Amino acid sequence: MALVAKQIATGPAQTPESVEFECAKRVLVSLRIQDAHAAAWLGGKALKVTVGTATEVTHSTDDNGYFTLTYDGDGDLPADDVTIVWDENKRSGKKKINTATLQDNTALGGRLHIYCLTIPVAGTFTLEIDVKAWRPWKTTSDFTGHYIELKGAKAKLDWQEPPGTAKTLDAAIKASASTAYATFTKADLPCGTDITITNVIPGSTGYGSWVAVGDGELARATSVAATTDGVTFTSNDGASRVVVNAANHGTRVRVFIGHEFKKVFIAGEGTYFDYAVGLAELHQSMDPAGKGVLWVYASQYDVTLTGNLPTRRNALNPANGATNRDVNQRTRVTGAAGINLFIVRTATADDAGTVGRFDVTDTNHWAALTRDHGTFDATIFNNPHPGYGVHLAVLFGLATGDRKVGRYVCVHTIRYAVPAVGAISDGNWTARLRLITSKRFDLQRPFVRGGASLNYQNRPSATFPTWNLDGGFANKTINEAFQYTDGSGIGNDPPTTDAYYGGATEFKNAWNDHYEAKITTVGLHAHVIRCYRRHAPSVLKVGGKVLLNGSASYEGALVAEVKKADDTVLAEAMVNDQTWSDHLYFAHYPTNFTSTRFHPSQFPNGYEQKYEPSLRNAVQYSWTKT
Amino acid sequence: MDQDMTVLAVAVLEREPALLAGFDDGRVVAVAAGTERVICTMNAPVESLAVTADQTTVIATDTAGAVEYRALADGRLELSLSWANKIKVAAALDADRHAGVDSKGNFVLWSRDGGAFVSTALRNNISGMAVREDGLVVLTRALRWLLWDPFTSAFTQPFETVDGMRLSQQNGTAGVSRNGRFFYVYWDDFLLFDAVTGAPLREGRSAWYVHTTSLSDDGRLLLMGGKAGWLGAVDDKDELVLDLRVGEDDVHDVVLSPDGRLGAWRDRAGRAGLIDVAARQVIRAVHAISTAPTDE
Repeated sequence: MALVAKQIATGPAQTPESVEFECAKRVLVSLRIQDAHAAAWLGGKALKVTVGTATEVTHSTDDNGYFTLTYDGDGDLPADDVTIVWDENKRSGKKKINTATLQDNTALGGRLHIYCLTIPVAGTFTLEIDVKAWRPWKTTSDFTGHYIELKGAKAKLDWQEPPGTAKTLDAAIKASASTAYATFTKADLPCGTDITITNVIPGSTGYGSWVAVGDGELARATSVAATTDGVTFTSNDGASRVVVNAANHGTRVRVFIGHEFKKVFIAGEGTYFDYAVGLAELHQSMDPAGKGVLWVYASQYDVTLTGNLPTRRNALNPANGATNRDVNQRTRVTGAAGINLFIVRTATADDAGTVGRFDVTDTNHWAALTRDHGTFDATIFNNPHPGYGVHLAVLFGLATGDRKVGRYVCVHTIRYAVPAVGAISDGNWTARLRLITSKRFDLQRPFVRGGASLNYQNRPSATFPTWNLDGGFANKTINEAFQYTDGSGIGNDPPTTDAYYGGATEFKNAWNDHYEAKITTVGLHAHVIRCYRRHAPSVLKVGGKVLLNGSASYEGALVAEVKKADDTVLAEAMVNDQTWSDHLYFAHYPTNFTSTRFHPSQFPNGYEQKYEPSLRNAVQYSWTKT
Repeated sequence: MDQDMTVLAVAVLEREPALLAGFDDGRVVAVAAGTERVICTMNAPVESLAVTADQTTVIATDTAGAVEYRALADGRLELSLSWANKIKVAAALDADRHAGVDSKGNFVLWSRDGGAFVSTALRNNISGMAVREDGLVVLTRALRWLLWDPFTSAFTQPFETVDGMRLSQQNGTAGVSRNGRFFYVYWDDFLLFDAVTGAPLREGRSAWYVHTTSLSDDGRLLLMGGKAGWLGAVDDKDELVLDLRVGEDDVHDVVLSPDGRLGAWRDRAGRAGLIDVAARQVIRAVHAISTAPTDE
């Protein structure tokens, strides 16, 4: 008496009534992947079958994944051991039964006896996960070049093992510094079951995932299940999730997940990148406990090359404002620049001749920014001020009829180290103005008088750059800009010859009403801010924000539209978001944020900023692009 | 008190006299001579404290947007309101209406609709508020202010004080006296205005470098907090009547009692205290490290 293996056409065990069976007893063997109940049965697979002490015989499953042992005799099944083994491509399944222990499956009806067995195909595989941030300023086509590892990324693995029993694992991808490349590895994950990798990273605005088997080429995971070498993967289900299912025992599966994050552009960063580097440092972690990742782009009006940054400086802890003494700002900035800080440089030289100035009033600089770096989630302008580095005498902030002691005939120059000054020739404004030692806006009095003659320029043909309310730029002669308070013209009109004015006897010492304005112009401060408000929206994504952090005194100007004389709106009203420190892009940093007393160059190491006010008084203004 | 408790808000109880301190664990504590008592515990860190004019109730807010009116005598909850953002200042308009300003600059009104209070944001870009005895609400907008009439629900146009873009200093403070009588700008100069008419009342110097200020009800005394634990006060003759170091850290908040007799301060490190302005001395102090009240 013996069982023989016999392949007959069968349907799935669930539908036996659709098949005509002989009146016999059979063991129906099915082969399928463990735990993957929805997966197809494995058809055409070779099974090694041993009955009792007989020699092992190889049979194959049919197209539907079934194999049937038929007992030829009329009696009960004998108490034979039957061993069925399947082993292919590192997957394996084995089932040993004793036919005596089998129970009639009476549910299958009548005289038909089918004893159903299933051989689950089992195995384990190794999963390697690397979560990275998609660094936007890398343009190399090399896959890994697009990415940078940041601190603290985590992923969560969920699977069932055995079926019905949920298992989960929080995988810390990066537990420590960003320098060491250490991929999270999990071995002994069960084959044939869905492993769900959830990777929710704070602040992530998008992601892509790639999967490779072994050392194979990475393939983009998509929402359509794709199978490579027995590894099935899907992604892009809107939840930062990748599902991997490896059929083959011993497989090594590599998963790369790359996240995108917000990009912010800082206009006019300060001398030592104090804010930019602090903001970058606060946003280098993908840990859910962190503040989320930001890509920080910083530009400067007055350029400081990183090699010129101080190596000992008092800095502030960007998170809590505590003083950090003797910080090496050079390595701090270059360190952040290796992670999430990018320093934007233009081809324009600053006043010191160093190339790289970004000028918020220059449309070309804004256009170049989007050309080179795409669009941003926010632009940030902290404490825009007309002070340092604006070495021009200009007619700003006039109102027609103004005859105040000319606060608004401004020389907006706050000096750096003063160079030696040679002879002043006509039009040699820059050299001349470097002399000025103003701690605040110069008054008209020193403008018009200084010893026996005018301080700055006393030729009617000399011109002052001015901005009128329509945003137009013009050079105005003093004759065009001013008249005497009795209405008479200054110098020659038109100024065809260099008839000097402002001689020692032109005014009495006590007479302050020297001139009165003939034109109305905006102040430099207002001009800088207005240019920022006009141009910054051009580099934003929809939903992006133009941010300006600064004094509460800007409120009247900023929470209002900027209009031309014909009511054309140049910039829409901003919103006063109140205390800056309550908002996302805040970082503590040493600043002369609102100081008009001293330029930071007075304190190269930042040790004595006696008049530095608290950033707590700073207010955030915003405008959102729709 | 726990060692790492930090004071986040202060107010003055004139009668006792005592310092009201709000902590980051939500407790509101009255610190009097040698004693302290917990008035209440908010569910989140305390955001602001204010004492009603009759000195019977404290209005406490927390960072989760809760507003609670608590009886100072026994801590009994008299009224509870809530809002989406933390409330920087809140006050009662009448039995059924309360007003506040939140951290996002919204002017918020709670009004009773049947039994429950319904809240509405009436205006944005608002930074501060005071409710006058005549019922008018003074709303500050940085260097400007406007009035809201709770009887007609009408806003006035903002009063323009100075053109902020023409100020030389980019740091300063501006605000309204607790009783809503005066608006002031402490910037390039010290400018005092009648809050209803907008009339300029006084122009003084601003010689002191300050982070925070508080004006007495009669507009004659301005308490200032500055760098490195500095407290100062100027009178209406521009005389510096107080010049005191109360600690090492920058002073973040000062509150002057309505009569200008007492002042509370809070610094960056979470220390707080009460001073007698005329006597120029600290009479209560609460330290973040050792929070036992001390008489100094």
